[in-house]
Amino acid sequence: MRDVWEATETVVKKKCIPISVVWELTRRCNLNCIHCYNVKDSASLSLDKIKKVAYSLREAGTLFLTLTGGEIFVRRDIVDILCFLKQLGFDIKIITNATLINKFLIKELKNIFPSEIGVSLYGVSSYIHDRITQVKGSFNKTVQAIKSLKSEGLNVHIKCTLMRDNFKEYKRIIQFARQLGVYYIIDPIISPKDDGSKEVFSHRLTEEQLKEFYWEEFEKIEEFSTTQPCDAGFNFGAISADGYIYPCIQFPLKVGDATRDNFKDVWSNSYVLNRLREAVKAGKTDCKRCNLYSYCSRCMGLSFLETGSPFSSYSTACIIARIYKEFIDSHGKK
Amino acid sequence: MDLSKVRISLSPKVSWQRIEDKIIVVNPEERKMHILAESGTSIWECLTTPKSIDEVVALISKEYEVDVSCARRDIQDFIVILKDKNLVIFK
Repeated sequence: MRDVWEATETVVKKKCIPISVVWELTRRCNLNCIHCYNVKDSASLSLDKIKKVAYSLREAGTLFLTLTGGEIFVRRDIVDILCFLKQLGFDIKIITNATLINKFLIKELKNIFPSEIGVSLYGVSSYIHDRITQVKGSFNKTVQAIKSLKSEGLNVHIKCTLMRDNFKEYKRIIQFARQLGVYYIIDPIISPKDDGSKEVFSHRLTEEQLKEFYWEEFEKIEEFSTTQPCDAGFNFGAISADGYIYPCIQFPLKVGDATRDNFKDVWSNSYVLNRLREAVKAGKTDCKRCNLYSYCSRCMGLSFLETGSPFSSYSTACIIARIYKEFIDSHGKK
Repeated sequence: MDLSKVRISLSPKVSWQRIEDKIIVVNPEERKMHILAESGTSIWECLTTPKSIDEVVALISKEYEVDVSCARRDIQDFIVILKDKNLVIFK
């Protein structure tokens, strides 16, 4: 089975079939998280347009569809959207703050059965979490929803963005997730906002905090692999709330308009996308002469947002590469 | 298993997509992925609308130009496997 999947995965990569797509269904949100990359506006596609785009994705070969926002459950038609996408055959993953999840939605979710429901949680107390979401009572609602989703047998996991404001909480969050029996993802990366503004950087971990976090993470890894190029723009794509097609939701390089153009046509024929792929295949980067190059795990989207070029060096990657090198030098693991 | 009195359809819980000549099927409830090949893909796509075993056999044997009685046993065995893996439902 593994061989068959690997062969299929090879075809997907070689032929640039967009098997995974992240779809931002709205930029509206009922929370106001201090670190959020979204620029809140009313952009969202109608149900009819969503259906049209969904058919187009299906034709292009998409299987895994991650629905995000904003907060997707602020949409009144969200159940209709989810049911339609499931009926078309997509594997659905959801990213949510879960504060709007109620008994009715849980019943619907049990029928739709998303393969993953990732719930944002920033602390194990309302003091920390509600300060980050800037909405009082959000902690209690989110935790209650996580417990309800779990008890109904749904595949829920905790997603925690780590920042200065909750750094001391992260081990407690891991413990909390283990107690609940749910998987967790801790991410210490704060992205620039979608409009490129960097005011959210004030919440980024200090280099010392990043080092503390990553050294603990590196300790858990038995064998390090060399950095692989990211799949963005190859077999991974994104659609923004206003319907633009991007290589990744964190890489807002407009390559087409899914409401106007056929997704498959854009994915195959976009001049911008094909130029990007050629550059990635050729190993294009401004960092080749850097002594941290072999330790660096760069993200084209973050580079694009921070510098305007997907191939430039950017601050977070440099810091993490430095931390990684220090770890390797002191542990001799690579 | 007697399939003569049931309508067979894809389980509404599974997700799937054709990738070239294969079909990838995901069962999110069991966190399992399956890959179908060759005539399995034809049978799967045939079941996107509910059908009786006779209808499936008629369609597949015509597509592959094989004898109906030969095809029936193989198709029936395959559908039973799909049922055991909770990828199809009987009504």
